[in-house]
Amino acid sequence: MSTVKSKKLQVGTSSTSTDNFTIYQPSTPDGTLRIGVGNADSPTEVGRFTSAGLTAKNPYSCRVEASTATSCSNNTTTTVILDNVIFDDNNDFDTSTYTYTAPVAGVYLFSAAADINSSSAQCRQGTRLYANSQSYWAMTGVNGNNNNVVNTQVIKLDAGATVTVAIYHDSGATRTTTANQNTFFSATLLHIT
Amino acid sequence: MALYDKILTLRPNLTSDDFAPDSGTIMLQNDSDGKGDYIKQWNHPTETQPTQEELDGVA
Repeated sequence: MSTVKSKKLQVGTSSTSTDNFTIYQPSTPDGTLRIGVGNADSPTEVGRFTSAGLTAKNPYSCRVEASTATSCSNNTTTTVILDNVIFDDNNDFDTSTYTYTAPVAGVYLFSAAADINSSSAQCRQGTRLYANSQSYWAMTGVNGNNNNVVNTQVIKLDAGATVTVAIYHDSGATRTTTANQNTFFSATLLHIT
Repeated sequence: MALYDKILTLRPNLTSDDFAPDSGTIMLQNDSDGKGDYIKQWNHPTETQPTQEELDGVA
């Protein structure tokens, strides 16, 4: 039995390099086997094997926060303004419409919250994730001051499906969200389908 | 005056519970697109949805 030894193995002969893949050991061996998109001379890593298993890059993650406050009327489900991109490598979040669009069909993990100062009112407050024409609410009772209700959901989406964040309260007056990291939306692809 | 307050002026039998997102029959919404609050859904069993004329007439 013969053994082929090589530091790089290109799979694919397309003239378009991004159609090809390369399996390779880094120039300075470090105990990893890399998988990259592109030809053997310059692959772009998308994953690696170590003794612990496979770790894949995931460009489909984002976090967006608020740098602008949202005015939320009493008893009104109001879309949260999210206009400060912390990271969004695939540009899946539109900060002009405050909408996330799923890049691929898959199962996603979402987490969102809006921080509101409901003053001294004891009231109900909730955060909604809206996807697949379905409202996913996280509601609780709060008692004044700043509160944010974190809504975490695992949702299966088709490519192109959209997700938005909204807030609701019944504190008796119009309130505004806090424009900082406590008003946020985050998403990551768990796996494709 | 906010839309919610106008509706309660016109339909005084309604309460905050009628607007609760998880159990109410009326949904007010604002898409943060500059167009303001609007009635997204009205499914109240006995109170009719106010017309735009009624809402405009509330001081």
